[in-house]
Amino acid sequence: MGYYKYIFRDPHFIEAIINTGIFVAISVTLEFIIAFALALLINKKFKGAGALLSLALIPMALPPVAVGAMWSSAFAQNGWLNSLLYRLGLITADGKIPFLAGTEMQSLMLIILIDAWQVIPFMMVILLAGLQNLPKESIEAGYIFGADKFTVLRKITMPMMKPSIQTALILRIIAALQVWLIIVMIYGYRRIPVLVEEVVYYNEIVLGFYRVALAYSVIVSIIVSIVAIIYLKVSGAFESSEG
Amino acid sequence: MKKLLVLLLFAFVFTLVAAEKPTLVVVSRLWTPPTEKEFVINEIIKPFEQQYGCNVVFKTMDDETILKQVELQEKTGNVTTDVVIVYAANMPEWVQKGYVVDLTPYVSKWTDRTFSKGFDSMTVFNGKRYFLPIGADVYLTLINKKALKYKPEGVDVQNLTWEDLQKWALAVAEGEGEGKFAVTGVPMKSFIYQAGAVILSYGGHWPNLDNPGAMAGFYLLAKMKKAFAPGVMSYDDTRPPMKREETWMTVAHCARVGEVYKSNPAQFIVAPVPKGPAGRGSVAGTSGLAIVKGTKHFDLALKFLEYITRPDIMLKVSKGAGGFIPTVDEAINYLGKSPEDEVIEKAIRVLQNGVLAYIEPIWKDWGQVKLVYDEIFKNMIMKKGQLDPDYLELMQLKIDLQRK
Amino acid sequence: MNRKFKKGVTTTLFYLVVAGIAIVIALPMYFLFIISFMSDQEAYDWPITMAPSFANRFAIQKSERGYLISVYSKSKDEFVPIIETKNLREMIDRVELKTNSTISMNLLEKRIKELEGKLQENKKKIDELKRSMKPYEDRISKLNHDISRTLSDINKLNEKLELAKNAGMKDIVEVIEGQLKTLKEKFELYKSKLEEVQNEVRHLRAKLVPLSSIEFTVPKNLFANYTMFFRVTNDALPALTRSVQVALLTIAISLSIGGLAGYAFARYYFKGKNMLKLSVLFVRMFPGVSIAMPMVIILARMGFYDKPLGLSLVYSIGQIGMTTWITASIFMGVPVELEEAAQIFGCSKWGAFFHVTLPLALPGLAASAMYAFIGSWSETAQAIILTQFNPTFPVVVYETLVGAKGLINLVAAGGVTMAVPAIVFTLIIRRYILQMWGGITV
Repeated sequence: MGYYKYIFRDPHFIEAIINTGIFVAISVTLEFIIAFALALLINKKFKGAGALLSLALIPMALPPVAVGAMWSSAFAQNGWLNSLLYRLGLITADGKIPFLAGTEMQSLMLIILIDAWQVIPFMMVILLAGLQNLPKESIEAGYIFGADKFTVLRKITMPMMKPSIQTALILRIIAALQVWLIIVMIYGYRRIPVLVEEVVYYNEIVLGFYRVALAYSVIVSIIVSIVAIIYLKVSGAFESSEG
Repeated sequence: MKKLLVLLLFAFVFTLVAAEKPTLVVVSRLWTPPTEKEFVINEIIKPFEQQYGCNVVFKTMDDETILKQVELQEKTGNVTTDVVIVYAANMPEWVQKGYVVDLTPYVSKWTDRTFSKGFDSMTVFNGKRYFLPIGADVYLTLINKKALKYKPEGVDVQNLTWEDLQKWALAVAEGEGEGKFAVTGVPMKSFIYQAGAVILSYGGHWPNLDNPGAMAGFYLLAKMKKAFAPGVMSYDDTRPPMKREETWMTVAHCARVGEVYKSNPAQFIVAPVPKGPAGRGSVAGTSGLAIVKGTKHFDLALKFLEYITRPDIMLKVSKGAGGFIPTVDEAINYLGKSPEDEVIEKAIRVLQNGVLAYIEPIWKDWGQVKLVYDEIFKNMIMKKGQLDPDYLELMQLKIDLQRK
Repeated sequence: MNRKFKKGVTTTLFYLVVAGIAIVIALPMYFLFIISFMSDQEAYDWPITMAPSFANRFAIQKSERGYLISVYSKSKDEFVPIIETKNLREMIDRVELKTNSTISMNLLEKRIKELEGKLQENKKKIDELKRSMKPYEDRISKLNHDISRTLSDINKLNEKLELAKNAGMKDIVEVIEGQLKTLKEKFELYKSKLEEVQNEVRHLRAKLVPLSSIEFTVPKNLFANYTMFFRVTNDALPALTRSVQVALLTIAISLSIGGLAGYAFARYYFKGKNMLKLSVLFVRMFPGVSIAMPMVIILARMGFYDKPLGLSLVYSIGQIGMTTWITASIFMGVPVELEEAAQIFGCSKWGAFFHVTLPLALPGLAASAMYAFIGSWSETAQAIILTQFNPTFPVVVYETLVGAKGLINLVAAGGVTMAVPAIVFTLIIRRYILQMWGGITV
């Protein structure tokens, strides 16, 4: 029990909970909207849709080594992002943007964007697989009855895709609650504390704190399960499968 | 999909176990940069293999991973790692868990070498030598020549004081519109060593905070707030910003300094760590070789240890692999004039004449002590930019908690 | 006409949006890719070039300590010095490390001979130019001194200003601010003067350089980072095949178990189903890092130490929950009626599953397979402690790159190498994700 007390007294714990909460709320919403839009777009099967899908899938397949190298060279003050902006004439040589020097909130937003870049394909594929499965007829029926595009999307496509959407969201929420690697890769430990980052920190970085890490993990998994159950209840996943 | 199924079957069939060959496995936290690793394998290990007719697998990893690997092997009774090279701060844990062999009876027979006395406090436990020091480190100053134009009058780069450096760094910041001084910020928990260099040169009792020397050191560092680069909080290493020329000055670990300096000797200047009223302060550390308990190749492992700590081999390693300092006293007499020699020579000057401190084995968790310094950097230096003695006294309590 | 025009505009706009998305996705990867072909010199230059170069231009000069060799930086539009030494062997090595160009000893010696000849020939002019540069250089060093003194004065005043401000001494604040203003003006003045003089010197030096240095171009080894990477990474190829094995095994295990569970969840109703469905996710809810160690110890005790199968078991445990959920959601979307219809037409229950349901669920299965592959492909933390003589590819990559913090180009090359198989696999699978029913327009 002492370990739990230790955690609750740790000021980083509160910070971690708040940061994780913000991260999950913003990133899941943002990623879902973009992923869904992208899935619908690709599902239009326009010329080049296949190519766009191929391209969109690649970020997901990149190993952490590559992702780390990519972003650390991007956000350095003399990195490629500033170089690009400079060459496009958007900034001057003295006006380099110090991407990593922002406040904690700004840093968190930056992380959300980077994370979205990599995770959107993950959600998109599940949604796309769901979309592929929809019988064409019901949607055509909607059009026949004079509904406009948006209504069809809201009244027919979305409800029919409910299982896929629920799956995509629940998997993403669970993963987002446990984000840490991308933060550590860009900012290092203890800069923007989040829950699992603290677990890893106690587990691997400061030695001899294995039990604290374990207690932390238990807390995290309780939080994750509560969030997951609430989400499933609210979204009606339980009822729907109960038939 | 069918193709995929065939592939899957294929994979099942090919789940084979490779035949195990009796080889010596050496896992090291030293010589991780690819060029160094290559050098060690080709110039140091190959001759050993030829001489003793054996195979050596040389792997590089970080300290935590090495410990985990061996922990798994010890717990399952299948020890496949034979020799480890780990950092001084982690040695107590290795000894405590009983994963390493006491080497005293064997080492006492090697009369042609003396391990530098300074490192005994880290490698010898209760009179028993578990680790042989190798690749020692101190702190050095690295300056990009671009900063020279702001150098205050009458300042000798090779003989800097901390006040000189502070003035210089602040002048650079004022002239360039942003700080150009790099320290490893919060992420890698190394600030304690950089701060340690300042504190020791002001006569402080590092890592304690409640003494005049530490206060004086932090007074100087707090005044340097503007001199730190804007991205300093996210630097987990001083190498990338120094190479990108985002920052122009730093006081850092001699191996890192050596790597950057070697990459462009015409652009950088290496100098010993700056001095203060009490002398040239630096935290010194070392890595150490040890044999894993339960190894199946003890004799071969011992031969390897004997081989690599020979004075001539040790100097060869130190020269080929960046700026680490040889830890055998007899090795020092053969230095030349190349950039590596220069770095080693300056590091040795610090080691011989400096006010040195070592990580003493009196801490429950050294990581927590390091963390205290990170918090001070974050809260007192970067946020307030002012010396706050009360705050330091408070943080001292946190350090005391970690005492055994 | 009007309608046609309108349609043209919407199509163009549509493709602009698509292109925008494509650029956002591709840009970071593009830079990672080109950095992997850059030399150390290029990769750390500012502003970084938009494409790697194919050759390096060098300039060699005589100096007090031997010869000074510099390389042309496209970004800075000037030659940047690399090393000053008498030892030609050392010079060649350093240049190779820095620029990925190998200058042959022959070439270097020839160029140096040329340089000596040139210096002899132009001796008079060089001396004259050097003499005329001297006063400017003196002025520069004086100005530099003035600047650094002014700056240190400014810094001192800044400190005082802060103290005064904190103490609320308004009159003193004003005085200091006044002083600061004059000092800053002085600084600006010195700075502009310095620039003037420096321009003069640059002008003279531009004349001096062609007289006293030799320029030459050497091709760059574009793949130097990759060859370096494979040279340092031991057993890269066996590790690669091992990794593919592990990944395919992971897919096989997680897809067969997870897929069946998913089908069960979609088709059958039983008590406690909700809780069970939630519980398959529980493995994913618990932070994996903290149980990794006990888990691998158990596996090692079971005899899976250093064997690909052991690793794929570890990975499958994490993947099964996800596979179950994805496949369940897909199977739910396949109407039961279709299966029943097939059974009416004489298919067995299994036949109906294999001929009707499975093909319909292919996109979901493909997606799950993709995740299983990606998840196991790049996993390092557990593989590293569970293997010794049979490491997977990420493990050997980790061992190579653990010390490559200051070598971003090498890390990029390693990252790209590691990404390629995963990308190839993803693109193969992609076909199965976008294939069924034909277009549904929304």
